[in-house]
Amino acid sequence: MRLPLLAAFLGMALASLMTFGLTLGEQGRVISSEHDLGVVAYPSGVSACETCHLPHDASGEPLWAQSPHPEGEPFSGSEPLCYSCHDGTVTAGAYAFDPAVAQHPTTPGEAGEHCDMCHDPHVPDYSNFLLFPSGANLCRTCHARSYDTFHTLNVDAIDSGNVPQDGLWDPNAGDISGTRLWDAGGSAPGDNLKCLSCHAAHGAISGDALLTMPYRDEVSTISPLCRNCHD
Amino acid sequence: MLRRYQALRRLVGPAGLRRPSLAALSLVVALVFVMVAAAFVSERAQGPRVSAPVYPARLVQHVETLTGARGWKQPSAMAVLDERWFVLDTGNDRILELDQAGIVRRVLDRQADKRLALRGPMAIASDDRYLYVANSGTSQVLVLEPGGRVEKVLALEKVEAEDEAPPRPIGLAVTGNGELLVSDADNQRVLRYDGEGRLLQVMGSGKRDGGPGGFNTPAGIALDQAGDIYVVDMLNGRAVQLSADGEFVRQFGRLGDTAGAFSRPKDVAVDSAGNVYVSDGLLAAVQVFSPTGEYLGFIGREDPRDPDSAPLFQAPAGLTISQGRLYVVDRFRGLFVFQLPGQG
Repeated sequence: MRLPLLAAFLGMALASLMTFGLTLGEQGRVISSEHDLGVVAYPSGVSACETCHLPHDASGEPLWAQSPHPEGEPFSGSEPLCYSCHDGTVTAGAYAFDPAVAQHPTTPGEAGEHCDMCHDPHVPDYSNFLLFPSGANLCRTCHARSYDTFHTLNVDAIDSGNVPQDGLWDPNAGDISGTRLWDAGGSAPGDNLKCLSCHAAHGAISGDALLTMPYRDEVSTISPLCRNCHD
Repeated sequence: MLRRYQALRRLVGPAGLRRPSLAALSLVVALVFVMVAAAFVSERAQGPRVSAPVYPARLVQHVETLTGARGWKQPSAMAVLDERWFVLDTGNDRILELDQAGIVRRVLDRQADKRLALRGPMAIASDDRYLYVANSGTSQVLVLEPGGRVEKVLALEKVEAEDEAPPRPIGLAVTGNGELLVSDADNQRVLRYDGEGRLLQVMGSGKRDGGPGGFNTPAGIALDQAGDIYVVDMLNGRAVQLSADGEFVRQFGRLGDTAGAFSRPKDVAVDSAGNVYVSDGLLAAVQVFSPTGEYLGFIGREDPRDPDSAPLFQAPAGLTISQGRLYVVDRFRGLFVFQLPGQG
């Protein structure tokens, strides 16, 4: 073969190898993460990938256990794959798929508009495989309204005993009876409440605003959401 | 015109194709284009994509998911007792008793018996007297009378090991002599208990294991008429047959998303002829194997003769076989009842 042709061929081969990730790349971070459910531990094998990807007996691309429902139908895209474990079997609890409570809308029919809007199973950096630390940064990637006026947290009031009875909401328990006052990092007086203090991506009561507690009460004029703290 | 003809003649040549490589290359490119276009244009198949045989089970009843007080939320399993159907309403932490027309007759929850405190229960089984519920969130098995009265609450004895989580039971079967077989999803084991919750036998190495006798998230369990044990080994993409004593006999299926392979198997059932049925949450189908492991076909299409017809299931989970009928609990679409061929 002539030299320029050979060089071109080698260059293309190298480019393909790099593209197809024969180096582990960022996907290798699944290893030792909570999604490393493989039998054989790295480095003797990369079976961490096999739980979701099918290097053998796969009928299509992209080599991952495919959604049985075409795009555009409900429960398509990444949702069946996520649910196949997050349904009470591999993990306890399936609140994120509970059709009886409000969930953050995803858009069937558009790529990247399912669970993978906010979660990436290859990225273990933040809790729940979110793409950002849970909280305002994540919400703000899409909800870009001005957040200059936040509700400020008065921790002194809380220290004096004025804590809501159902103060912390635990998404893993599916308990949506309360509001989460602050993110796990903690808060100081004068801090602002977080988005998650009143809203929840999964398991919210109120549909449109994804509130964790009702904003209006038909009988009294007091907002249950406000009253949860301003008791 | 003549010039074009002459150019063409120059290409083809008087003795035929003078530039065979160019013509051949054009042909190959055209073929590749057609193949790629066909791949995009053709309908994406749903479920097992090869022209797999469709198992001739006939859908005879579909109880749809209702909303409201008598509706279920992500049910995971059901059991048949005294000709009543007991659907494990996992999302509502209760059991619904249905008659054979699919009407809810009774709700079994803490109002029926204070000790019926369920938390995300994932499996239910029955013998001829009692219902057995794997109370997955509390590491217990509850034994109930069909009226709802709790006969026993069995706290599952832990396998002694440091730093080990208590058993999280997500699969359950009752043997002929009253022993309980329980899948422990957190410790990759199948455990055998006596009727009082005392640990009798441990199967599995305790860590994710792909070999004979090992498990990676064991799920549904069923027994055949000889007492052999069938366990769905979820993340290994297989169903494993063990002898009544717990020795590995054979494996059904392999990890994959073609016919006869499993993507995310959930539950297993065995009919009176020894055929093995495995539900698959990702293939959205139930696949059937002969007693020796030969693939017989799948269930899950509206037209049981057409593998390309619309899928029936969204997330099929619990399987129960009773009197020649297969009951499939779909986490979202409700309860499907099939008449099995050649049985009753």
